Amino acid sequence: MDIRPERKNEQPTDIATVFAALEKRIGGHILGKGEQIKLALCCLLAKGHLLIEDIPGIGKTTLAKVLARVLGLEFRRVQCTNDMLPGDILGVSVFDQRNGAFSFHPGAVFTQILLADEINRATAKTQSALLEAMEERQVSMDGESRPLPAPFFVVATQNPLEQAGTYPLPESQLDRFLMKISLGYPSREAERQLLETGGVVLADDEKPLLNAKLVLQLQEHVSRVRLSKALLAYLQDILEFSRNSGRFSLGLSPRAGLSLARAGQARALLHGRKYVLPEDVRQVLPHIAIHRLKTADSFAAMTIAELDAAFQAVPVPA
Amino acid sequence: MSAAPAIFTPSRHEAHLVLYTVIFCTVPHFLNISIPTIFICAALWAYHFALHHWGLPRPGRMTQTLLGILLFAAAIISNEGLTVEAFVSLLTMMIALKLFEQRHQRDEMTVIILCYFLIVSGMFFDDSILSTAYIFGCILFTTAVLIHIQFPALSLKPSLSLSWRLVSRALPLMALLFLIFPRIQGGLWGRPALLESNTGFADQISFGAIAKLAAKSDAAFRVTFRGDFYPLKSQLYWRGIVLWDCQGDTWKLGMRMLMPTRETVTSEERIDYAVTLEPHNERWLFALDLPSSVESQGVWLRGDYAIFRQRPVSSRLSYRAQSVASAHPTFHPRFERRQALQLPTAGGPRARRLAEELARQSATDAEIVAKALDFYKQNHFTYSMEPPTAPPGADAIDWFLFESRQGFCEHFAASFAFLMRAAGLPTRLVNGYFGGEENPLGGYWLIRQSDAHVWVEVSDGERWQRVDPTLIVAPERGLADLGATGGDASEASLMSRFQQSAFGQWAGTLFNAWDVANSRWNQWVMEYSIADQFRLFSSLGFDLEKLKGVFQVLLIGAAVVGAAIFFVLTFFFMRKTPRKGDQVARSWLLFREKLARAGIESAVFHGPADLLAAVDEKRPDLRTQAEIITGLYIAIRYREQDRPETIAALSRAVREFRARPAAPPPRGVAR
Repeated sequence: MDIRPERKNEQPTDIATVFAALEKRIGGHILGKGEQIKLALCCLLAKGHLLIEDIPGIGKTTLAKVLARVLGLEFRRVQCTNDMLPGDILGVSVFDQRNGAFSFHPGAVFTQILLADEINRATAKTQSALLEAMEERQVSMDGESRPLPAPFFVVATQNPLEQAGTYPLPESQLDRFLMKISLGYPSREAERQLLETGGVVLADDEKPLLNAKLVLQLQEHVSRVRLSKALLAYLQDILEFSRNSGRFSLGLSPRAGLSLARAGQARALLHGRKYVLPEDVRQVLPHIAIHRLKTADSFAAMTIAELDAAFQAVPVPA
Repeated sequence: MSAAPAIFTPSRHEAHLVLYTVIFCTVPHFLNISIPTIFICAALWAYHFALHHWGLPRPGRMTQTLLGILLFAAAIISNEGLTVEAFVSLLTMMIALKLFEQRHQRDEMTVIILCYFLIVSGMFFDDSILSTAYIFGCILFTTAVLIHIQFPALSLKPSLSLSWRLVSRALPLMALLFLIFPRIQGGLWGRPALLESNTGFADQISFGAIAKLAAKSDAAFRVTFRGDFYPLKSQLYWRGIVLWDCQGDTWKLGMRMLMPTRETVTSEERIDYAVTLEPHNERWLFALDLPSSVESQGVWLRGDYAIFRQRPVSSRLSYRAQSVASAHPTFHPRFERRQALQLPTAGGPRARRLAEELARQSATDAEIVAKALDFYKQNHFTYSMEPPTAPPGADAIDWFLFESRQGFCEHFAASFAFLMRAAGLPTRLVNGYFGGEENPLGGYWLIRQSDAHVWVEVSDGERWQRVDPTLIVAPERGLADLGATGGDASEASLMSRFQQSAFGQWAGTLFNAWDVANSRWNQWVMEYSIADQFRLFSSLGFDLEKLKGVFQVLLIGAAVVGAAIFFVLTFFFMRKTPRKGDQVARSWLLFREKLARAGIESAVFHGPADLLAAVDEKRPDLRTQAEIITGLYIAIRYREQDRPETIAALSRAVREFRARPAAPPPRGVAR
């Protein structure tokens, strides 16, 4: 096992134990959201980006912060507004009079976990600059490409209610996010604990469980999880169904198919398996499809439950 | 594509689709099956819909069996004998019941395939263009549903387009088979008779019976005249049967005695024409008065010039006939006088007195006829399709002649014939059709059921002369083709005014075109017979009679070669398909089936881990075995460790897997 945790007293023997520890630690801060934490981890490990759509004050920012802290990654946050320019995120070149040359001042994007709060408040120009950086994992400016740090994970948030003065992300840009999740209100028990402790307080001395190098190793592990022929057949059946069944206005793109495979791999690894089962794919599928598929008849967005039910029509090959 | 799952739970969407298919295919049969059958089917459908929509309980196997027996009995009781209707009723009810027995996907398929039988049996009843179009629609939809069930990933719309492609590709082959496939004339055992007669035309005339004949405007037959003959409408008396037996207000066929052979009518004015008769399930044909010869098999012209056939006309019949318009049948006093003067002993006292008075006043027979016609003309008789009925106790003939004086052809003809017989003149009634409508587009005349007519033949001592008392009262009935102008605003003149309006003419043309289409459809498609087939082959240069042997050899040869190709290909494919892949899938499906029998149901979208979780929940006692099998399956399928010994181990483990079918109460074990 290449995974070596930093501290001696927490020495998981295999990946599953690492994940169990991760989930436990994160779950200690974000109460009662085990499934969402798993999905966020999946997303990170599958080298994807995450879109969280929820009302304010539900813990979106806290989730991103806790992730960064526990994984030992560098964290930055931008609050998107409509007067924001691409340079504010990517960085600017400034003429330095001392050495008579332009020097580059990197923007917020040069980090490992970037929280883009209320991304739909930024103008289309800024959005596309960020999304390009997300896809290419580099910033090209003044004819020079500067690679972003690795791992690079963007958590963008959206407020589903306030639509005035926003620039909704077009389908092509939504496709760049691997998953869209929403957190939802905490359970009664979780909220009681939250009220008792007076909110999530991240102690400064809280030691991370992993570091950037180990996260990259985990990502490498994910890409090596086995995708068998039978599973690919199932995956293709799903893609075909989304395109030909006539229930959706537009089928899943090949990029969505790749995302589905990688998220399935991450999910399998999360369960400590080195091979993907159809169940892994089915569990992540609705969260990957929710921002990509719309109903054919009314062009309306679908809920997770509706998507899950729709894809029940795809049989698992025997 | 994925194999059929062993455990079957049809989705609501699918169950509804199958139901719609059944309804779609059954609806045209509503006219043919008995009323109770319709209600039973509707109830079963409604319950099936509710079952899948709101999750009502599914009837158990016992209930289904009992219901099946009951419905079988119902089908036998509610129909008379072994008719096509009885079979179709049985089929519809059993399909409706089969909807509830859906344990495997093949049950769903069975329903769909039975629907094809339902569709085909529709052809027994109605082969018009419209119903053929409907049947075509049914086939498209049913095939689409069949495809959709097989490939759930393909939704209905693409299934429909695939179905359309399949069916349209089959059309040329269908046309070819239609033309050249050897035909068995009239079916192997003949088509079973249908119960309902398709006409208002009966073998007896009841005085004062309700006028139902006029209501139907269906086609009775169509006539194409040969040569450049163009008939006058007043000439178009279509002779059907001759009624001899007067029983007061009812006239019957009578005359069971042997008729003398009729003499050959020789005349140059022979009218040559072809008749296409719609089926009416009776044994007589129609021909223009007076027929001289009819060319059709098993048909003879009786002495009274009624044309009879050995078997009832149960399907559309075409025949050629010749008639001579000016000829009159010879009167044979020796054979016919007694019958033609027969009257019941009682009834119609006033009519008899009138007849005696007419006879006393007249010097000749012709004068009696003229005076009797004058009686109708001078006493304000009116033509009415809905005459008042005689009060109970009144004599029907007297009441008509002296009180109501309203009626239609049956009343006039029957009362006139009664008068003539009472006056001592040999008389008989002829039941047939009068008139017709020319279809200029198709070049034929259409005679409808509403053209049914009755007239009288009176003997002048040597010949039978046609007398039509109805025309005395309602001359516009005979002159309609000349544009009859009734001075009053009667219904007939309103109708003719409508017909002369622009819209009326347009509608008339439209109707004519539609009737031509129907007629051509019947002529070219539905009546394509073995004789036509022979003609087709001979026009292509083959003589079927001579080539029969060659064809047989060719046919057998083709069958042998086809079978050989089939077996070789099957063998080839069987060898090519990797058997191990099949074996894994088979073992897995068998395992799921065994689990289902043990009470662990799973759906098509459940993977191996879901299945194991279900076992854990419902039958923890099976956990160990299930874990081994699932582990082996996952290893082969998802870890790609498909070594032969692993596959063998899986199939052995599944074979040896035993679960007691009746699960012990799982709750006790789980706690």
